[in-house]
Amino acid sequence: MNANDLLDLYASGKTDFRGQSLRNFDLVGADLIGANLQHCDLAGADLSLAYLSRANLRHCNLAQANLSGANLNQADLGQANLTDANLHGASLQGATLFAVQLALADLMDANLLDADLREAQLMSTNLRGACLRGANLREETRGDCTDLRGAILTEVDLRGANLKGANLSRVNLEGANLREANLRSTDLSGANLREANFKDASLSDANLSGADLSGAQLQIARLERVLLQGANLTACNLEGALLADAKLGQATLAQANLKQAKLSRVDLSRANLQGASLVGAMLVEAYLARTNLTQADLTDANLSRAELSSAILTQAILTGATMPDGSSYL
Amino acid sequence: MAFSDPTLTAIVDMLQQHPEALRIHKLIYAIYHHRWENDPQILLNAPILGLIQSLQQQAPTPAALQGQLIQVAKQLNKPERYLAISQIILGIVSPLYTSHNTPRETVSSPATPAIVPPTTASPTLVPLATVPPATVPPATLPPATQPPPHPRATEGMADLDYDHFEARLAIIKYANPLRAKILIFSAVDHPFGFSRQDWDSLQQWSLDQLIRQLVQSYPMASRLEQCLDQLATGFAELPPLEQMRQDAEAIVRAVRPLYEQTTGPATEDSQSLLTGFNATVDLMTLASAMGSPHPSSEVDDDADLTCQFFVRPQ
Repeated sequence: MNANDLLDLYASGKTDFRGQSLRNFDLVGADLIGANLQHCDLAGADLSLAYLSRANLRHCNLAQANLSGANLNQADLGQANLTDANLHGASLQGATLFAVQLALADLMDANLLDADLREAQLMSTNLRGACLRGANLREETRGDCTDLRGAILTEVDLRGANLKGANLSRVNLEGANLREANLRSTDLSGANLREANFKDASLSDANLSGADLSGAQLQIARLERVLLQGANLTACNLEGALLADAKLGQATLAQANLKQAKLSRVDLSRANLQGASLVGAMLVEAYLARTNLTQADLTDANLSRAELSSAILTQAILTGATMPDGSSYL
Repeated sequence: MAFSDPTLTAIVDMLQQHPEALRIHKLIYAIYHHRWENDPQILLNAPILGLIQSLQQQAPTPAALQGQLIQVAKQLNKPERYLAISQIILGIVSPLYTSHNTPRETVSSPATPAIVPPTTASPTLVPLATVPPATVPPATLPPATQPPPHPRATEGMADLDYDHFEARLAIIKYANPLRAKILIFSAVDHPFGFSRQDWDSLQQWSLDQLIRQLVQSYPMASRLEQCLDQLATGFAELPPLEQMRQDAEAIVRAVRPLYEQTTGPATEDSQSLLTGFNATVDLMTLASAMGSPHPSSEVDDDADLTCQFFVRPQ
């Protein structure tokens, strides 16, 4: 069977092509809506701008296939092999990509709204500018986690996406939209998160050690028990953020906005908070050993039972603050 | 500057004595300052001698100069007239390049705009007569090699409350993302030719960058709509016309809030995004919002019909 045979058969009403070898077929702009292509070998095929919405592509071999601009809305690509495939500008809205192999694939500017990407392997995948709003990338119980190690995620839109437990170690999410995203227990260690928007996101129990969050927006974000040792949070906006029990040892928070932040029992030992605003912050039982609070504004902060004895408080503002012994600073 | 004074003096004289001297001056001023100027006093304070000297640094090759002239001229309300003016300018200033261009032809210059790669193979000029106003044939312009700077660094959008994630979402929900990129790329750079080089260029631009460039390139919504509509009908390689039109409409709908921000919801032009092309843009409001000065009230016959700002060369 060649490409024309396939299209003729489809045009005549046949939709079941399971297990066919369609390797390197030229199917540019082909209409295969709803076709059953399960277990087909489409490696190297050119399916650019093809219409494959609602197609069954489970277990397909699409390695190095060209699917740029293809319409794959609601298609089922479960466990397909899309290694090194070109999906630039493809539309995959609501598609099933469960446990799909997408390593080295190009998904730049792809539409992945509400897509199911659980257990997907996205190592070194290019997702620059892709839209993953409402997508599901969460770790399955007793399953493999979604692996995004080394993925390019700049300018990606993950608003409201579920990434719970995903491996995002060392990813580049600079300028990404992660508002309201579920990032609980994710591994974001060493990630580039500069100027990313995490407003209202949930990052509790996540590992952000060594991550670069400079200029990031984390207002009202949930960060309980998060690991932020050695992270760069320069000029970060953490107003109203929930950071109880977080580990921030040796982190850089210079000029950060921590107004009204909840920092009870937080470990800020040797952290740099020079010029930070901690107005009204809750620092009950915080550990501030050798913390640099030079020129920090702690107006009305609550430092009850905090370890403050070795902190550097040069030119710090403590007006109205509740001191470790329970007294008010005048 | 490397060129000799006699050559430069002669060129300046020719430009100043030309019957179209005023329009020549305006166009050269626009190339250099990235905005349109109708105020004679301001033009007087920017002598053509200094502009020409700076121009060769900004456009180090004839092809670069041509690219910039076309880029500006095709955004004006009288593109045919200004393409002719561009031809005049190119004809007159070409001796500057023929006598001093050799070392610069392949040297990258930071002032070279993104639409004209510094490594352009041939400096040969293409007759502008072959270039229609809003749809430049692929072969007549070098392709883009570099995208605009990162969105946060893009000038002109800073004053707008622009949520680029929302604009992008509004496009991809109703249009094919790749076709939308091809359409916008064609509108801001040159019509997509489906060559390997064009695909590589398209890969350099994110959809978000293209949207920003689109809004900056088309200060008038009616021109944007008209251009996209024309482009949508011009691609034999792409799906049926109706789908391309839908993609173009989705793009226009997505960027409409930006025009409403700048012109106000009640202006004719913002309405024209939905209703038609025969509108008059509120240039003063738009120019102000985009960081450009207001057009002067003392204007010549083009003044009230000319775009007020351009894509800033990278």
